[in-house]
Amino acid sequence: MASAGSGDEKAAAAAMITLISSDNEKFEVTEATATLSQTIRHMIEDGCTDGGVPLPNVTSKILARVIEYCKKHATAAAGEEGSSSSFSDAAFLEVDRAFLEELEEFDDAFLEVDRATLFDLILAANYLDIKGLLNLTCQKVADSVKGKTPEQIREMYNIVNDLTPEEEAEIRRETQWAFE
Amino acid sequence: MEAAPKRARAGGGSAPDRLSTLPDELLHRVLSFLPSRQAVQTTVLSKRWIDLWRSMPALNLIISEFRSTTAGHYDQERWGKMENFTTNLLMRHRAPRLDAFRLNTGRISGVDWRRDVDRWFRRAMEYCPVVMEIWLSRAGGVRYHLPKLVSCHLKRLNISGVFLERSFAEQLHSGCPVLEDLKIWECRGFRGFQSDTLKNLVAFDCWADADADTDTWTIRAPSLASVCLSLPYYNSTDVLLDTGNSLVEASIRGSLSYYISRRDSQAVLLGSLVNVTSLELSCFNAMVFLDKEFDKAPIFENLRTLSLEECFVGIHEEDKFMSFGRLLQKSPNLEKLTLQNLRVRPTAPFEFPVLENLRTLLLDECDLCGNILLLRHFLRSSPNLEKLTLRLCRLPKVFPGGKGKAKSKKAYCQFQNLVHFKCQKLKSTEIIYREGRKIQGLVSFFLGISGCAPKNTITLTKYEEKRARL
Repeated sequence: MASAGSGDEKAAAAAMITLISSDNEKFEVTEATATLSQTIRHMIEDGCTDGGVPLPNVTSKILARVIEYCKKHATAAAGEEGSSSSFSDAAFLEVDRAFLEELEEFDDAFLEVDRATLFDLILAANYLDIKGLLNLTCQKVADSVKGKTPEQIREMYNIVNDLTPEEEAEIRRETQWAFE
Repeated sequence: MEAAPKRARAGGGSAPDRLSTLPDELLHRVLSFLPSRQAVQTTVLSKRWIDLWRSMPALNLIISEFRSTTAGHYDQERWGKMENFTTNLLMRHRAPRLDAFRLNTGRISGVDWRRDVDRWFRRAMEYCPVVMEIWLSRAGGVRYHLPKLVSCHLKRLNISGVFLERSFAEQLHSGCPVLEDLKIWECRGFRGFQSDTLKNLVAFDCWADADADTDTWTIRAPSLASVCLSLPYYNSTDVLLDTGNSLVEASIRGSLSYYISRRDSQAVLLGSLVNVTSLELSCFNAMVFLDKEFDKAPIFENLRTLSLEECFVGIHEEDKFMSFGRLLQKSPNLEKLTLQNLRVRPTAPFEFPVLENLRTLLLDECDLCGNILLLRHFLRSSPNLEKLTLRLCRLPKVFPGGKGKAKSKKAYCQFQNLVHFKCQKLKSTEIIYREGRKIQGLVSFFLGISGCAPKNTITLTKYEEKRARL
């Protein structure tokens, strides 16, 4: 996404952050994109981002996706960068509204990933402390089990039932009020 | 993490259980998106899951989770199950705090649920939730007062179907010191409130007292940024909205009913929105904008986006047009204007204000029948218009392309003659039409005026029912 005028570009270029994935790939992102992550925001505040931010828990494949998410949502969050300048607050609201729909579509498409990737995204969002992405991905998992019986959930996520039949029966008796 | 779950050993190459290996905190987050009944049921999945539900940070109590198996006492049975479930859950759940407490009783009837809800609400308050959503049944006209609302962490409160006591205003002010979002829906006894921290307010289908001829709502919220209100339709409600300069976005549904004599109170309300940058009005009578109270209101200097739906209803055509013009005069800096269901005919002699900054104009399901002059007014008064959309508008029969040839030709010429405008910046005109409607006339009109709008491109889009509103 190319953005705004040359003045803004200069300002943005001055505030680029380099993120380094666990497999040593480097990603250059704007500060606005990077600071959607509270973890990185704190690092910037502490002035320890020179020479790049190593993220030993995130692979390049997942980091690329996380950055894709942050870029999109950073534009939405910071109205200044989303609109074509010269407009006042009103324009932002407009941008906001159109953006909300666009964001929803983006989020839906973003979640079209296999289960392994979804879990990697959850862990990355947690590690990087990106609340929006964490909620989005956890909600996706919740939606996938909604209306399913425990047996169906086990099968879906390969959960091994390590309870003995007696133990399970006992638990069901204790929580019978939730199964009625 | 102790108690790491066992992987599928003999599973014959099946994928590992990534869900159960998530840390507690993340599984709690997943559980908090589920109806609580389902969340508790995860207790039998495996050893890892036995106690997770006990400390989940959100409780979602929803009647639709509880089904009845016997005919006859359908709602009683469902409520019995929900009551039993909730009592057990609240007894055994042991998180010290809650992020969210949600209760939705649906449209349950034939059960007196008030004491149960009272109990749960009080218990919920002890958790100091950040978010609280209470949707109660209004079936049977049950009159229910909430227990005292005190929560030092409460940021978002949604309530519906509650009878608000006079002390509600005071409770919000002193009991909820960090409240930011308030949504009140179908609540009686609403008379306004004061909150120094509130940013967003929605008050829809609320009223103070159905028997009174007049009501007064007093809303004092110096940090309010957006407001969405609907006025009661059966009486005159004076709304005193005191928001300082913080308000940027407002959406107000007025009241069209004819027997309301006092337009001034609605005009005063509009006057209090003078700082907003974005404004949506629906169901406002023409006379509101002609009221001297509206005259007194200052110019809406900041207003950039205006959306009007079914406004300017009135008895006399002149009033309608004049009130429309009056509102536009007050909004000199408009950049985007949306008109839905506008049935205003231009009647002379009234000067249509020049909208110097208008860039986007959408006419949505407007009646241009015998009224195409309205379009002329806009084209003439909007020198910087860039984008024009005509969506499902009713078009005049005698418009060129219509049947009566001689007549239509005359109308066409007349129309062309009346058009003296320059829309140098008009880049795009989109006509969204229903299948079978004749739009050739409109298209040839725009082709005919290409001299006035040299950069204009015309797009025709067939309306798809799927994309119908709501």
